[in-house]
Amino acid sequence: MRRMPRNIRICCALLCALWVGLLPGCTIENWFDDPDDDIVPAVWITETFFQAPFPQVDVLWVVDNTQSMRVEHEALEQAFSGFVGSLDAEGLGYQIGVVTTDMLNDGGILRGNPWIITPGMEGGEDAFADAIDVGLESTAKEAGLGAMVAALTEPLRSGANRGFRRASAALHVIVVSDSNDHSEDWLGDSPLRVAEDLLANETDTNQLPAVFSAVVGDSPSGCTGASGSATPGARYVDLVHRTGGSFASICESNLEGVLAGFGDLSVAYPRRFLLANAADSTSLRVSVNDVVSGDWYYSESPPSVIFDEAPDADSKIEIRYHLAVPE
Amino acid sequence: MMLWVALAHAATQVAVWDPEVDENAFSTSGVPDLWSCGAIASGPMIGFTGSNACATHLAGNYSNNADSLLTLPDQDLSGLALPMLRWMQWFSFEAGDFGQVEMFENGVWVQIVPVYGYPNGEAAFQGQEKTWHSAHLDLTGLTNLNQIRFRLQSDATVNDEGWYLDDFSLWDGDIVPPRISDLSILEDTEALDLDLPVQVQVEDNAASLSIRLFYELNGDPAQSEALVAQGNGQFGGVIPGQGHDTHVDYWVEADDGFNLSVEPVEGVYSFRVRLPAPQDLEGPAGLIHDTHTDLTWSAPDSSHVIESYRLYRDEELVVATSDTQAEVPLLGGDLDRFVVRAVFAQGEGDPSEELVLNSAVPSAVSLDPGRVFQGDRIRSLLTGVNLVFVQDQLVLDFGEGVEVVQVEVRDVDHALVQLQVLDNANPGFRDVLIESGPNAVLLPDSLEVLDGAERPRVVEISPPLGRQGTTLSLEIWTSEPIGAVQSVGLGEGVIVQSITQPQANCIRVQGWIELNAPLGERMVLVDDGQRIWTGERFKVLDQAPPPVGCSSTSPMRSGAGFWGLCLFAFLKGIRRQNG
Repeated sequence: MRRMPRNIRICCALLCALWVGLLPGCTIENWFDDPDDDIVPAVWITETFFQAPFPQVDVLWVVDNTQSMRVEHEALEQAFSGFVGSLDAEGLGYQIGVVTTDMLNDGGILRGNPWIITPGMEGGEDAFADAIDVGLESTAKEAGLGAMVAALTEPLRSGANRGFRRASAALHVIVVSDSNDHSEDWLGDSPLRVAEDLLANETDTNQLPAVFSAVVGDSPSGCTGASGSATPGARYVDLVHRTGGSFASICESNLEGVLAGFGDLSVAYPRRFLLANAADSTSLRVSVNDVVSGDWYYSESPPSVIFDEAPDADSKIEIRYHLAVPE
Repeated sequence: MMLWVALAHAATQVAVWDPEVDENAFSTSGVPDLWSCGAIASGPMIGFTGSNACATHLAGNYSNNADSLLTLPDQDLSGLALPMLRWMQWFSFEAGDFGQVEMFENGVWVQIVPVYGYPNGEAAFQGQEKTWHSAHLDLTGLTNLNQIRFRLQSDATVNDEGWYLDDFSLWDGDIVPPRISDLSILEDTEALDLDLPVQVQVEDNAASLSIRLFYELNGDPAQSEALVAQGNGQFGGVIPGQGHDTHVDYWVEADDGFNLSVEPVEGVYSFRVRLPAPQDLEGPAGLIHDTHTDLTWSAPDSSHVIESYRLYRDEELVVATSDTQAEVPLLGGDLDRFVVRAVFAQGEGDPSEELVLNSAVPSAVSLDPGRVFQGDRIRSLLTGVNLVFVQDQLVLDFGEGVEVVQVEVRDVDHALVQLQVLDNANPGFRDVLIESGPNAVLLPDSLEVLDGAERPRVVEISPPLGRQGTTLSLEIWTSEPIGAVQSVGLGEGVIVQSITQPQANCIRVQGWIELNAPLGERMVLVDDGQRIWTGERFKVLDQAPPPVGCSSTSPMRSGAGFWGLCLFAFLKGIRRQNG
């Protein structure tokens, strides 16, 4: 038997050496992949979101409906168009609701028909005028914070006020009153703390601003203007400072200008995107407009991806993940 | 009296005395002498005409214990066939005080009675009549007007504004109009086709009276009939029976040949002949957030048999029922204004009082776009009113062959719906069922599925494949012009860096294919924000071949290179072995 030629022996030896992976960068997978074969996909869950085309904000007006507010109501109706104009100018996807400070009779239920005003709504200004046309017959103590808390919490949140508060929207509460808050009967000894906690919780839950603004009497001395006098709205002003909102004196003659400035506080795009399932955090892959993104973190409760900075308007956000393994 | 009537003739004015210019024409006396004529600053404050009058006190109350007299001017009455005096007066007497008219006769002053007597059957002017009104005196038998005087008498305690007289006029002839009183006031009635009696009391200083009842039916020209004397100044007649829903205005005119009186003095009396209306029409209080609601009412109090009820909104029949309750559809806003009518054998009765509801009716307004193609993947904006869209609580059913991929609620009135239309979806219009929390509505014929052959699509990708680890530059051609492209999806591991649109139906994509991009074909997805265009696939091949010869970095990365090298060595060995 003739011995195999040397070249052939060398070739076979080289083949064997390569076979066991002596040469780096040449893997079995790559050697034998058939380009025409689709790979077997892993079991991924893909959720696709689209960033809102405009920032969303829910604006809750808390309006004093006692007799002393007659002149202010007229001014407020006049100023509303300017306020909506400022929201439109900012390109906000707003929802506007109105409650009164009268917890005894109204109890934080949104007023008007329709009771939630949205952009482009026919007769939106009339709807607002009707909503704040609250009769001025209230003799109940002005409980603006109590009304705010009632309007934004259960049972009204998913009951009579259902749909007003959106997880994708910032929150802006604006109180208009010529008196201080008297919500002790509804919120206990510390109405300010309850209200502040509520707004902080709104911020935490949605990762969007929840601010409080007030058109009330100056603190600590009150004020006197063309439409009468107002006692200090000290508690409201305190909450304004704690939430980064805006204060304006109710004695201010140019209420329209004041309210138009409030719209600036409401610009915020969603950062949090809620997942339908709890995810295996190590498996998460996030892309924005098909570009992989790393500027985010995962929150287990509720399962969601929170971006460090909100994706741009209309962005496509694709989130792929494996289900979390139950412990 | 009969003789006097026979002599009656048209009145002519003989003389007038106006305190405005004739304030000194009258004479006063009494204890105290209170009467005076001039500008008044008490009582009515101004005269019947002008600012002057004759008064018991021009600027205050009369005195207690007064007996004061105002005597009329010297005016010869001889030659007057029927002398009559007319004056205007205003008075306010405290209880126990009064005014009266006296005539000098046979050497003494005696009280006389004006035509139609003193008010309320009293013996003198008493109490208050604090508006200017006329009074008349028959002067027959007197020779001079100064035989008439006005007398105020007051008691010892408390006084009042007193008596004010103006615009005296002397006439020859009958100037006194008939006095009409106690005309029957007819109220709305359900007495259909029954004559309705009317009575009235008429007085006059003449005996020849024509008294007629006038009535208008539903605004038609007036009809009249003579009323018949029934004794004691009472006259009677009837308004003929009328059918349902007849509005009747009526009044009485009394004519003594020279003077005409009408009752009522202003306007008319009215009543309706009608079948009665149901009562207490009620619905829910406050805002009604629903498409329908229940209304209730009470049957009318009627002697007629009620057969059924009809509910109307703006005169449009909504519901007919034999019950006293009904469910009605709502329109929303301030459009829901209802009345209910009872239906009798004789016809439909009067409407109830209007019930105005405050309703917010959930309704779907539009789905835009509402035209899709078989095989389409598209986003449509759903707009609702009062449907209150809430994320995760909005359920949509487009029927067989159209699947809802994703719903994104924008606000309570708007939601963006991503649809996948299957290739075998039946073409044609279809309804959309929308369930939003407790509300469910149907949006009829809101989605039209068109033949997939016409579907806008990706028709070409050039090049249609690329290798792992290479840059990407390709063009995507569409079947028709496409809007502004938001994203191009080429599947996992294919990274899109930039998108340009050099032509209306061409998209140029730059990017790269990652080394670990999954191999094989994947559908290309071009998203213009409304439609996701598909139709062609892009294929990822394994890594690119190495350059010819041995690479210093990775000579054996390419399978072709390795096998080529081996084949070369093998063939060389064989040739050497063979010879």
